[in-house]
Amino acid sequence: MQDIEQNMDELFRKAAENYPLKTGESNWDDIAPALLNSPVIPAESTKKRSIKKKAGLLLLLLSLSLAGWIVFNFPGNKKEITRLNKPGDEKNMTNSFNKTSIPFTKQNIEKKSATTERAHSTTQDQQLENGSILLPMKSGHRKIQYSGNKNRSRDNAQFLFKDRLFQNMPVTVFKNPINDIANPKQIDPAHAISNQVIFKTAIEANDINAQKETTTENLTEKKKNLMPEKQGIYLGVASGLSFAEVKNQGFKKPGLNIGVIAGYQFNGRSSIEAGLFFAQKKYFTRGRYFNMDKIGSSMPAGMEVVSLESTSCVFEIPTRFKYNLLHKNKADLFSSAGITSYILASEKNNYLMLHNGTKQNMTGLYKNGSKYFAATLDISLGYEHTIGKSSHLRIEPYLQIPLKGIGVGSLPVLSSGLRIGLTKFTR
Amino acid sequence: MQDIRHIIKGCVARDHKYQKIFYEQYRGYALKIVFRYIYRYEKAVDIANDGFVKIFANISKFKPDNEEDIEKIMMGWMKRIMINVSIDELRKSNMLPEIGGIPEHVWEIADSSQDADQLLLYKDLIILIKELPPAYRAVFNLYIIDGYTHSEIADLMNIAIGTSKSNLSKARLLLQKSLKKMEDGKLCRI
Repeated sequence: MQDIEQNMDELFRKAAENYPLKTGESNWDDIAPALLNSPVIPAESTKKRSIKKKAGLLLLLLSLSLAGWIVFNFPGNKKEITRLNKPGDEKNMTNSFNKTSIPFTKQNIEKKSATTERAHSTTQDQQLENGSILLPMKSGHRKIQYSGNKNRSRDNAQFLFKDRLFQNMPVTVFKNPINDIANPKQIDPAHAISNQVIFKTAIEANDINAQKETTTENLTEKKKNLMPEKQGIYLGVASGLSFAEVKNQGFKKPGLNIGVIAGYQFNGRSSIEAGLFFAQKKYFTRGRYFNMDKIGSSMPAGMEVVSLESTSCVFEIPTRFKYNLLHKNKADLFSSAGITSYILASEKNNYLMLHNGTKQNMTGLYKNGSKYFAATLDISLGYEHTIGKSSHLRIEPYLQIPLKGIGVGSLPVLSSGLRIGLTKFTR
Repeated sequence: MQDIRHIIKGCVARDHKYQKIFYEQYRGYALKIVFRYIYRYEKAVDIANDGFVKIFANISKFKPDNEEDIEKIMMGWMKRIMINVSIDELRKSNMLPEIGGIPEHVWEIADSSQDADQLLLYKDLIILIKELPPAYRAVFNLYIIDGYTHSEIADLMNIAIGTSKSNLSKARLLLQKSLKKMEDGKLCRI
């Protein structure tokens, strides 16, 4: 039986290839007008566009990570300070200091013996208090005054010490700033003592700092000091573009989103945030992913969805935990994770339907205000820059992974985009 | 005959001169595919023309993997488009069976040669296929002649895989009966 079938199949295949059909005269004139009006469909497929867009977003995330890594790992102060702390360095530098003829050399040596103990005992006090650091330069003076933050004065001392020209030069730490010091020669030691002035070399000062830093307590202190100890409530606004897709079918047009943020910062690194955003989501899907349960009863029997394009307006309520990964000066690299709940304000679907073998277009507009708690899982990686005292500008690529379907078709909508925001501490 | 690559390039550039060359070169091939699905000859000509409009609209998407077999690949691509437009037409008409015979003027009159009998046989076999109910005809053409799988047929015709298998089985039964009748008829004439 199978042989007969196979023989029959082969026979029909040959017939299909060779049967004698008259093709007749060419009727190009019938087809030419249709060609003038027909649209030309671009070569790039939706799938390729989707892959390109995803690759673009991934590249952006990687670029930000790389930029952060470069900024925060750029070789600078650390190496110089480490170099100063090498055993043997101090001795060599001290010897060269002694050889150098600079103002106050004699006085410095005298003061060194007399005030060394005091320096050790009072250094911490001096450095803990508000103080200024003066480094006399060859061609002039540079006076730096700091008030308030003990940590900052030490940090900047290390920063200034990095220049080896200053290593053998006297360093003056003042409790109260002295204006207009044009020449260290003019400093009267007696006057300096009355103002609790300590003369020490940059190496000595650095040694003392280095000794302190070896203790665990100081390490922690240093680490803490690297992150500003901001705490409190902040508010902000953010806006951006996002792309939405369903089941890897490709992104279509971008949607706009805009909203407000409120957050509470626990310490330099951690904070929690909530927000309220109005977002537009534009996506496409084939009919096979569209769940007919909700609208099946309102359609004629036998009608099927071939595909649809949707524009949905949603109110997004994100809540998330934000963590600063890296900090330097005024810049932070942060990551965040959380969930977003949706309130679907409106949904407009352009359907391509199939009914009794006929395709037709239909439009549906739904305004039922459906609520979806924890509709998406959000992750992001961003960059934040401090402006002024308490304002921050942030740029943040993000990804919203669907946890449930939304809309009349219960579609799992994946969103990704870029948000730019401005936040400010309330006090 | 111009190189197929130049013709395709010209069609991509929407040059009517190359589109016309392409149309005239492959019209017969396209019509023979469509005529297996569509009962009426005039309708088949219209559907084939629709197919060419789609081909020219989408020709920029045609990117063959192998430049050497470009014509073969292009004809395979063209075949799929012609089949798609034929199936769309059948679904539009709700797979309703057509009545009336096939006029003789649509067939190429064979010379009295060795191949004449063979060609007549082929003509008769195609008529047998065309006389099947449209749903069976479509499945038989897609599976046996054009090499589609039941899964692909189900997607294309928006039917279940089981329905595709069932239609094929019924088509085969009907064709076997028709073939037997045809053979018996020939024997009687002898």
